[in-house]
Amino acid sequence: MKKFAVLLIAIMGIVVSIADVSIAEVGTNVNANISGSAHWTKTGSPYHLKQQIYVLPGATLTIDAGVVVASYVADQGSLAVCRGAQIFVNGTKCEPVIMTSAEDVATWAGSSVRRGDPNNTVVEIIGMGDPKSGVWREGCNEWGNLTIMGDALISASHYGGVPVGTNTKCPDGTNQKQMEGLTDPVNGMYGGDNDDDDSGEIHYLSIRYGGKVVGLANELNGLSLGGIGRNTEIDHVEIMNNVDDGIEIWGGTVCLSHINIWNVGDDSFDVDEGWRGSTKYGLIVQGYSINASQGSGVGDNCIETDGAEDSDAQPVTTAAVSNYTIIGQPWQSGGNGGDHGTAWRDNARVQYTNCIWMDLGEKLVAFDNTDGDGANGYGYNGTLSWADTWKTSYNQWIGMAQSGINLCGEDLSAIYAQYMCCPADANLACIKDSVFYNNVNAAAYTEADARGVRNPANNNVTASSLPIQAITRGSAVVKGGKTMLPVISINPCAANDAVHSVNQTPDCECFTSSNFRGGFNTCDNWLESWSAVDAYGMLISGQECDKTDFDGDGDTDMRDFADFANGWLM
Amino acid sequence: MAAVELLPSDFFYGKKMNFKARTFKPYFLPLVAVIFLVTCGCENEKAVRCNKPIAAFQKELLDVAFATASAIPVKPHIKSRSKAQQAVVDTCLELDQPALAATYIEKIEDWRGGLCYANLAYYYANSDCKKQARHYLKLAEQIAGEDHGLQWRNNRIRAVIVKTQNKLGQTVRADKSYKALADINNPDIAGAEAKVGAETSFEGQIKSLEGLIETGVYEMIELSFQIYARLFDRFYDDPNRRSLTEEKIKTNWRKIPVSARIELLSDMADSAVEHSDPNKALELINEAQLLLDGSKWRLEHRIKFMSKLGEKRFRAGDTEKARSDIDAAVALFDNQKSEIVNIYRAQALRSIGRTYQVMGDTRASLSIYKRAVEEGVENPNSRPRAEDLSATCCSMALYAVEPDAELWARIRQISGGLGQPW
Repeated sequence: MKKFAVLLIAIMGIVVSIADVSIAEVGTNVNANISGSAHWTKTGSPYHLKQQIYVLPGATLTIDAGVVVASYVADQGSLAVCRGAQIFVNGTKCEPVIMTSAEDVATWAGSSVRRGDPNNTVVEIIGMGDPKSGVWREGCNEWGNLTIMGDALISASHYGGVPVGTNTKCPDGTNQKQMEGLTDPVNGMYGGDNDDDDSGEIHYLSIRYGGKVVGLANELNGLSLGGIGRNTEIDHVEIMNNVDDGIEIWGGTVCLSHINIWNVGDDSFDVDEGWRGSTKYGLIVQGYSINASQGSGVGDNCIETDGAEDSDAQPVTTAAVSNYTIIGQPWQSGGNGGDHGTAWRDNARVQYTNCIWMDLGEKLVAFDNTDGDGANGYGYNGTLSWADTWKTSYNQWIGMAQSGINLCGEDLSAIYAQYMCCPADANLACIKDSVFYNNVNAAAYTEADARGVRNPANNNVTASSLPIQAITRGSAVVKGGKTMLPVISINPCAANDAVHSVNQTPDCECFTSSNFRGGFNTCDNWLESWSAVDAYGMLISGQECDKTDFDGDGDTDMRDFADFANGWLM
Repeated sequence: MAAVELLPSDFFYGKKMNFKARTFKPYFLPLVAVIFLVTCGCENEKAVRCNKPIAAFQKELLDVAFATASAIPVKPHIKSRSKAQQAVVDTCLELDQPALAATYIEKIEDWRGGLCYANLAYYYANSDCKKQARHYLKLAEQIAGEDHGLQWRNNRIRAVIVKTQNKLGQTVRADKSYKALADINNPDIAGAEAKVGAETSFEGQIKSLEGLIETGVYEMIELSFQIYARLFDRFYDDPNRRSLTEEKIKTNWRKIPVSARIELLSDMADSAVEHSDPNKALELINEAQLLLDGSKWRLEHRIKFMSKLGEKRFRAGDTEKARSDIDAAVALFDNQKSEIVNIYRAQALRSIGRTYQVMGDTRASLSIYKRAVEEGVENPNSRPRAEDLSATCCSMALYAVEPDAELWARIRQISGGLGQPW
């Protein structure tokens, strides 16, 4: 009898165990900083960030294709890669890496979750469903973000009108600054003197529903990049529904390509502290993530560019943005729609080429002059005036070269290759070879025209036909006091005036040229398969690319032959 | 048998004057020289197809450095690995070991292989060894034509290719290559690099440089000051132009980092020493010292600049203060090393070790390099360990600091022990 009782207890124990396993949380908890390099695999997925996690200097975090990082609302998880550390996000088109909240995972087909405190949020993922499914929700702030800190030059002498530490305006090559939202005084610092710094690689990464701050009273951007050097590779990155900016870049020289930013609660793409890089191929769709004020849930500017802190400090933002499709919020009644296409502050210099600007709520070019935090604006202390910034060639040194003035035996080409990042024949600030569509605010082009943006020489087109293949908006909703017309589906591929640009975008420091306007040619929708936009069913299929249509303009013609011949002869 | 100490002054190389104190056994040099003369030389009598004589330990240090760099796994660290490998190749070229460099370059698996081939071709072109230069140029061109993800990588290779083609007198090809490079941003500057103007254009240059500075674009400003420094050197013996250049530099340099200003002053001090003007050199070094003292730095940067200025001061003849400055750098490290993130400690120490060797104190140098090796393994990950060990070996090879048996054993132990986590 005694033996039977023992056996019964043992069997019951096994049954309980099995029951435990069958309802146990899947995945891996990450609850300590990463000091020895770590490798996150599909087997261990989903990974749950249980707190602010730092990848410490010298360590490397490698994330395999298909890994999901899904954090719980209660945990305040977030991921920061320190200066001297590296991250490799090895997503692929078929198997992206997804950093999101457990709330998002709960909407995926086949997911099984357990809910509890706080507020009936997901507290356990018991079974993870299909990452290529899900439903767009109004929401954000459900976990932190991905922050990367590097060692490249930043301009951070001031903030809020007061000096930052002992940083200088020059800078002294050792300017550094504490990253927004991070509290660690050592591991939370970015900036240095190595423009070639290498923080790793990010390929095919979808970041969703984040922005929750862990340590301080500010919001987090979807992807924060502080002092990131040009050896860092970032392509195919998506930010969906963040509370603050989509991507913010402070200083550094990093280049980014294939960027998709939707429904973020502040500026979609924000630049500051002397970024000297470029970005090519992008889609920005303004909207809202939650019902909160503009800047904390409702989209602000599509692209906001600050030059330096302060305006006469160095380095100053000198960047190139090409082949972006920028879609604003067009509601006009009562002035309650979206904000500007571009906002310019503190001596920023940006060259926009081959872009689409459509449905902007307010101005194409908004001259803010300062960022409102006490810094001085354009023209301060001998810097170029706002007007002159639009008239001065990036490459004034061409004149020196053409006039045959010697360079003391210096090899100009070597310097050229090392230091140029922008189209040299364009002015420091410009918008060229772009399409403007349905920007109906009374002041939409006022400042742009004052700067000569629509002069014929710039090859811009104010179009009457939709420059993308399809877009569908939902009914008007009021969020944060603003009237939003949410984009519910899109085919962003080029149409009409966007199919061909007048000139090819120049090869830049980072990217090769292209001959269309906007982020997509007529048939290559690079959002397919890996993005939340596709997973949530918001992508409208278009035509397939013809194998002989090398330039992707929808037909096979002499341009394709030229492209083919060029490639073959190379 | 006593070793023969060759003084730093015996080893001034080129404009940058990377002088290296070397300790060789007395029988070693003649023997290697004979071997070199028998086996080396290309179509030109000045050829350097083969390696010039270096001590066996230097070669061994280079081998360990390259093997250590190559131990870094390609996935995911190919960029770190190739960068560390390139540093070894660069060291080879500084030590006139082109053949050794060529064997290393074959093992570099990304765009840096192309850059190294281009650098090797340029080295040969400078040595008037055209056949070898052409050979490696071709290899560099091949890699420059491949897709390396980001254009600047190709551009860096192409820039050296253009420079080499010009050196070889291949002006038509250079123009074509240059145009390909220039087309990336603007075709109008094609061929400009080849235009080395006459002295009469000095005033025009100064005016143009001021124009560049006025743009307020960081790269332009930095470029301007690089050119200013070269003007200072070129017109050193013309007091008016030299002082005008110096004045322009100091009037405008508010817009460049203090670190860049110190580098500028260091280069200018080099020019002064080269032109046998130690007083001017010391004046410039003192000015740099004021900048260093007047700014706050990350400690590893401060130590690096203290070492650099100590080295310059030594060469300018102020040996006593140079020594006390470098001793102070050691004390600073000892007292505050906890403020330096562990992956940056070894590099601070290397700069000190190098300077001691330049000053002729090999014992102190070796002691510091030993510490650098140990500090390099403080981080638990093998990537920074490998990077540090490789760099330390390169530095010791370049400055001819021979490891003792104890250090050799430790170097081999660390190199052999690299592994997960990377």
